Amino acid sequence: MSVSDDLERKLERLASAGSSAASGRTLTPLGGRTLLATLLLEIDETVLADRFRVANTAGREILVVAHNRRLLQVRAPESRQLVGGPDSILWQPTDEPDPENVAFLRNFLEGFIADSDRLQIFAAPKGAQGGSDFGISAKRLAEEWDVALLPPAERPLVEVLDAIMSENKEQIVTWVRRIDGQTECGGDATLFEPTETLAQTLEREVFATSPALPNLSRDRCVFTLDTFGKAGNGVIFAAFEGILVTLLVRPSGLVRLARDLQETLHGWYGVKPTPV
Amino acid sequence: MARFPSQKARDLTLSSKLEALRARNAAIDAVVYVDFGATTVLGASQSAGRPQEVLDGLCRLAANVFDEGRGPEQAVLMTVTEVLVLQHLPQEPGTALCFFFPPQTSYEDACGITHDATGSLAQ
Repeated sequence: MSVSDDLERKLERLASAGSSAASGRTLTPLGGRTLLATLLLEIDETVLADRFRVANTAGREILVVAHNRRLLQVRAPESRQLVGGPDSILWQPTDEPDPENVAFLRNFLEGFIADSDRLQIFAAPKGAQGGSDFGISAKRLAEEWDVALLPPAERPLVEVLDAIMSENKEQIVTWVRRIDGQTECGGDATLFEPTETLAQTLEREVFATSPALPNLSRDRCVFTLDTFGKAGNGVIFAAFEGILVTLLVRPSGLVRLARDLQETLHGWYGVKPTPV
Repeated sequence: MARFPSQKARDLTLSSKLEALRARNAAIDAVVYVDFGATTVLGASQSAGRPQEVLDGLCRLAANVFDEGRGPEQAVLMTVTEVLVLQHLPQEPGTALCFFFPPQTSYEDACGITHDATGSLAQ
């Protein structure tokens, strides 16, 4: 993911911070990012002092206290705290660096996340922050735990798209690709011409919306239709840094292809490199 | 003489209904209801918070996508900052619902949640 894409995403998230937190948001891992990494990323994107409840798939909750992209405390949910007693602090950093303290946190979070494929985030009432004023940065935790917050170094997009199309070739009826003004086609030759016409139409109509959706650009976007025409094939139109791809896809293959391209959109390539 | 709800009251009711639709699933950021035949935004959930030009752009996209005879019921647009699902409403000709999701929402989840939420309207 380019710096500008990452920055745009962060700005969008910060701008909408809290807008839906009262009713909860869902954290799901994308591509090669694990659920633990997704939770650390949530903390990394918490600039203003915030408390939020995190619920796993089993419905168990913890309370996370974060500020300035740092984790300050992990607590039991308010309802579980002892009446008249101190807040139940499950974890907080020590004054001096303590590897065992950090290892405990990892074991605890991994245990909390185990068997969950997503987490729910809810706003929590503001309360006394307490505990450490400094916390531990989410990035530092990710480095110590060897957890990837960002996608790996980028491969050429042409290679990635080739690999995705190769992996899904049984599901692609026809494809049209345009790079640097050159057009290539593949698949059912009887559908080349209508697919190329469709490609031109989608390019015009999808990008006509770009003034309204600032992050819709020829650099990175994926557009799908669940069915098109009499044959009922799905359609995918994808744009990556000037490469325009239009695919007619069998209905059974639409979800996987769209998911692979979505992961590519965010820099997480869903396909292993093809052996040479 | 019977009193008819004012336009403002009808707008509030529609906004509340769209907000209720959005609240059905925590993954949904916002819901917008458009009449793409008339290129008009009919209503939006309270959390929509999108500029008017964004909503107008959605109308145009829906109008292009759900043209008569093409057949698609659902269109999905994914960018680095959001996943947008346009769901045609055949029971209300010329209209569509637009669901906004965070960018990490999987394609499959976004389509499924939209389908389920729209299905609930028919009940």
